[in-house]
Amino acid sequence: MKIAVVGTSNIGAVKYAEAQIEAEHPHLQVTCFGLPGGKFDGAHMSDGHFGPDRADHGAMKLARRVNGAPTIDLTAFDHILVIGDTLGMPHTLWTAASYDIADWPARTGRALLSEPAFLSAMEEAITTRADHLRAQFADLPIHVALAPYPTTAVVPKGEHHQMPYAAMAHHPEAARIQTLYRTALTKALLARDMIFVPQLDETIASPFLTKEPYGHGSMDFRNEGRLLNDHRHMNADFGASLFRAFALALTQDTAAPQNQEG
Amino acid sequence: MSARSPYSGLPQRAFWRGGVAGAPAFPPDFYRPKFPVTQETRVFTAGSCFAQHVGAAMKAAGIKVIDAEPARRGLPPETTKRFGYGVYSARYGNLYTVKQFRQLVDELNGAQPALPVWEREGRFWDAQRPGVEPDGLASPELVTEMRAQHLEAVAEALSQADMIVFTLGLTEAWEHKASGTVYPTAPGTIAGDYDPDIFHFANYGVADILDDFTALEEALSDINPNLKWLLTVSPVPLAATASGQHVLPATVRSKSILRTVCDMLCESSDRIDYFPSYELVTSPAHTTSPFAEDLRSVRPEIVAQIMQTFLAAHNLGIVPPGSEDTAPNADPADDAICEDILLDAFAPDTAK
Repeated sequence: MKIAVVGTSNIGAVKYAEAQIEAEHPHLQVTCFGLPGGKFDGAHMSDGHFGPDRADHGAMKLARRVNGAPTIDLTAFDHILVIGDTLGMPHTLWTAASYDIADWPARTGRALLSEPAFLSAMEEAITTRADHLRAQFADLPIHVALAPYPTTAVVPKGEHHQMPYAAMAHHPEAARIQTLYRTALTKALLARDMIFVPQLDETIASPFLTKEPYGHGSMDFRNEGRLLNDHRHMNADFGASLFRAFALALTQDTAAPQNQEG
Repeated sequence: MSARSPYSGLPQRAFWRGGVAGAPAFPPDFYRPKFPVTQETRVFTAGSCFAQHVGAAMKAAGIKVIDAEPARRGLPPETTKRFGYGVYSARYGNLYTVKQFRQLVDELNGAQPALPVWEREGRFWDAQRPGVEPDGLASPELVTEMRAQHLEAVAEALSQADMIVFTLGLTEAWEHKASGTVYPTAPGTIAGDYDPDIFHFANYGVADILDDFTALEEALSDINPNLKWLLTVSPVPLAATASGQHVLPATVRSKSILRTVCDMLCESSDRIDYFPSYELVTSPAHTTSPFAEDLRSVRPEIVAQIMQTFLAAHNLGIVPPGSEDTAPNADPADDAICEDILLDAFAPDTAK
């Protein structure tokens, strides 16, 4: 079965997990195609081929150098996994970090925001990005994985500190927010013929934060051997785990129609 | 030698012919401000839904429009607007009547409106601003808690202000019979339930509104004694009337009273100015209707020109044409949040 893994720099984790994936899923033949986040955002389908804005010669040249070709024919694949969009997650977390949600018990002295307003904000942030993603891939059915949660190394002040994820480490409602967010995201993607592939619990330290070891040894998707260790990009172990989640989702996809027919 | 007349020598703006007939719909030298508005002026905006345009244009011109309950980082634009963030200087929603504004300031000073929470299908609304939480809240206690925080923001905004820009919108309102508490929407429109034993219809006259304004100014003097006022009258007609009249004469009555009040207040104080946006919309000099297809919403390009007239009179930046606010094909319903249009849902079906 032919699989395309397409996305931003976050595909690096899967790309460098090639050996593990091959060992675990020998029946799957994986091809990766990545673009830096900004260029990926402007990429789209044309005649079945996905790639950067064809008029952006720099991006086309980069895509060729990184991927061996400037575009990829996605019609040639059985399944497509798209990785890397944050799909409204930062907006949702900023909102949660900026307000006390009135309907929830915690009070920190921040301005109050009603739960309906919070949910509306989350859904708006998600649907804006989901619509964009849908438009990028035309009518192709796709599986979608978020850009990974950054690791817990972003929580302390210092080199890797990253808001709003750091705020979730101590947020009393982080678990509730994660559940609400994942539910809303799954629903929004499904409504657009896309299936959400969440990163596996084995990689998650706490809501919206990945276990720190997965941030060590991450490499630039454009340049194998160039270490990132920025704790926003993950290593090959994470890539193998995420691919496992995708393979599991594929199994569930194929099981569902059989059950319905039965 | 011709006879002398007090009209001889007057400028063209004084004559209908040349001032309106044969003149552009937005004529030069139309508005002469009583006092300057600069980018440093701290402005508090309030009023009926047309006031939202005024505040937006002032913000676009770089004027310091106060926002005491801002949309904080993360809130996306549609949600921001739908939940009343950034629309006025705090999230009080539309203040259609002077009495409503007076009541808000009285509340800052300790007064309590009657029946402050309205219910519908297990959800609860702040009866004084039901539009800012379109889905309601989970409990009356939450309404009370959020209102307390809101009132702190209103007090802060008023204490910071140099000037209040207030658009007078309606004379018709619904009041609590026993206390006189006024509400921005009729009970039963967004929430609550209309009980004629509890609520009654009010249609304010000139004296009522002047009394309310006087009381409002007095209450404000405790918070900020040096406030200036810029008044406008909303050109948006009534969506519906409960007066028993046809809605057209009811609209004219309402607007005439509000316009008269503005004139009397302006005459009474150097701190009160009137900007004739109402006249710019209703002027017969328009070659095409200034109203959208519903004959009620003012077309966005007309709103933009009105605000350009205001800003130009103050030597302030003009909103660039072709911006989102001036797009001629923009849906006027998108431009302002007006609860009173909800009354339209109660109209008989005219398609029959």
